[in-house]
Amino acid sequence: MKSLITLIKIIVAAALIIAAVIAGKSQGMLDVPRLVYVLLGMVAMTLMGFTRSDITAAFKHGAGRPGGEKELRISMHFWEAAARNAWMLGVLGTIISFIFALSQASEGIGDIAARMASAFITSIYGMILGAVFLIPAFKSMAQLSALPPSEKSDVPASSDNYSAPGLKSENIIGYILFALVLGWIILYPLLDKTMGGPLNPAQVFIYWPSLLIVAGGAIAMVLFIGETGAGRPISLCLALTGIIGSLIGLVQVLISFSGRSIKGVAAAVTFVISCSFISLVGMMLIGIPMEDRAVKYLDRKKPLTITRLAWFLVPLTALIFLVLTFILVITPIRKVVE
Amino acid sequence: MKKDHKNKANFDDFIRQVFKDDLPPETNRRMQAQLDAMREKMIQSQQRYPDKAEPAPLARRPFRQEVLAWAAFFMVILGSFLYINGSQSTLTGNISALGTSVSVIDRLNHSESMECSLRRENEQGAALTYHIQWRVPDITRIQIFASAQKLLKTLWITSEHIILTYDQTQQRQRLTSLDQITDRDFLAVMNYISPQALAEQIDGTWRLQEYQGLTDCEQGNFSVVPSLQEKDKSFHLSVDLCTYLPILIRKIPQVHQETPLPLEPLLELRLEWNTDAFRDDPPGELRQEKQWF
Repeated sequence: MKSLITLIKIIVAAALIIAAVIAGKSQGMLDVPRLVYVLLGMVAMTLMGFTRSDITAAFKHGAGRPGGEKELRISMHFWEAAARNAWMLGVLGTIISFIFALSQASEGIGDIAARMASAFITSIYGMILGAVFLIPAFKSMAQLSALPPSEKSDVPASSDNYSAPGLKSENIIGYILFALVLGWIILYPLLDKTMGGPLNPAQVFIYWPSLLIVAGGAIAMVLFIGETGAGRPISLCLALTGIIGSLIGLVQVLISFSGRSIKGVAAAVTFVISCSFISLVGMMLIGIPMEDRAVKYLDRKKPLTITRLAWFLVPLTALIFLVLTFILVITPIRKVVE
Repeated sequence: MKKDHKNKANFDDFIRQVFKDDLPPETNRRMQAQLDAMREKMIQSQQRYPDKAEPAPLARRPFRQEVLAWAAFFMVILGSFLYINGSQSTLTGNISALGTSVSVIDRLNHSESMECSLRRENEQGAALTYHIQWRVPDITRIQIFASAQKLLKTLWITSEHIILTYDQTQQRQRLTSLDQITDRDFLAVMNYISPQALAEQIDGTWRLQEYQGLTDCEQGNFSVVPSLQEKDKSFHLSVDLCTYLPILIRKIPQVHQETPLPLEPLLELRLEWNTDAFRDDPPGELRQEKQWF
């Protein structure tokens, strides 16, 4: 009976995937390179933050196999992290595609607007995959809550006994893979001659004011906050400085737009996009893998609630800012001439 | 080292006072071994968690945090300074150009009249001067002059009539569609006969690329990425940034390494907007459509 239910589940899931692919293809929503980027990026980020044994155990628990409290806690965090990674990678892909749409040669404004709009497809992939990976996370949570009280232990959140372990081989492979995936998705279109390339990625992606402000602000915040008993909240600090920078940029966009200054709008839009890009890359490359590893080595139940909130809110705000900038960029400015 | 010895001696004295030296030798030896092991553990523990009074390893000294704090402070200040002073990047330039294109197209589609003068050489090498006038609802007059006052031919275009007049011979030709125009002198300027035609060029074929000396309410100069058919020519477009209307278009042959000298423009178009166009009488057929005049 149980195997029949499993078979039905697999058939339904396969039907849904096939339907999504067919619908996506017919609506122009299927973009294989971007999908591959999200999937490979997820593999890389998983390897950066978890060990082989954690990953194997998480898949077993996701399939319904029972486990102890600590293993289930790590598995639950693993699936939540997979959902988060998919979502963040999706939004990062959107930002990168958005920057390409604005940087490369095109066949007019309609073409640029269409490319800017299609950049949001990557976020849809990330969101769908994120929703899929939340299912095993909830399963592990249900298993954890079903454990008898005798098997549960109250693990204190402490960093006193924490001595940072060295990176494992899978973590290093994860970092290398992530760098390759990011390099591929950034460099490949920039070198394309038919799209006006080759362009210098440093000139396209690095806007010094936002890089300095986000990095400097995040370092200052980390130093001010110090140890929280749950490690240093690096990704939270990057998230906060990224959001603050983007908000400052957005206010500047609105002021310049009402002052009818295209130059001001352009500088502020660049600042907004760049702040979102730098804070997301910083979180994914530095903060999040450390926090994922700390869940196991610090014996913490989960990272700080505000940090977990930041993981999901930062990409969402970045997406909202992108939509707003898209609207503002394609809205004509009319000057009143006296 | 001295401190270590002193601690050790104090600790041993304390142990000796508590446990008098009246134990059997075997028990004494075992106790001594236990004490040595305990001392070893204490030393290891001290190494792992050094006392605050002892100097920290170089990597954990507080001054390192101060350096980081100062670095962070200067990064934020420098970033703010660069931003306030209008630091440019490829992205900023492209967004400016895109925003300007959008505004220019919007203004072109809302303009009421256009006058432009244009100079070019025809296939025979003769210098021609064009005078193109357009006004709402959609009437265009294109005049071609051989010299300052020598009018060669005129083309009138409305939504219903197309009339071609050869002024030297007083010959008149009536056409039903723009596709019937075969005169190369007129065909060469069909992209500039109305604001809508210009807007189509900017929207579909050209892409504004760079700003030069852009400030608000001044002239903004762009280089234009031309269409594939005109890759051997370089385009420049100047826009009045008060009105977002184009004021000058220049088409220049690409400068090759063999001929580094500046070349004469293939085409130079000067535009004026929202002035009183059509002071002259149009041909009789057009005069009947009184809503224009």
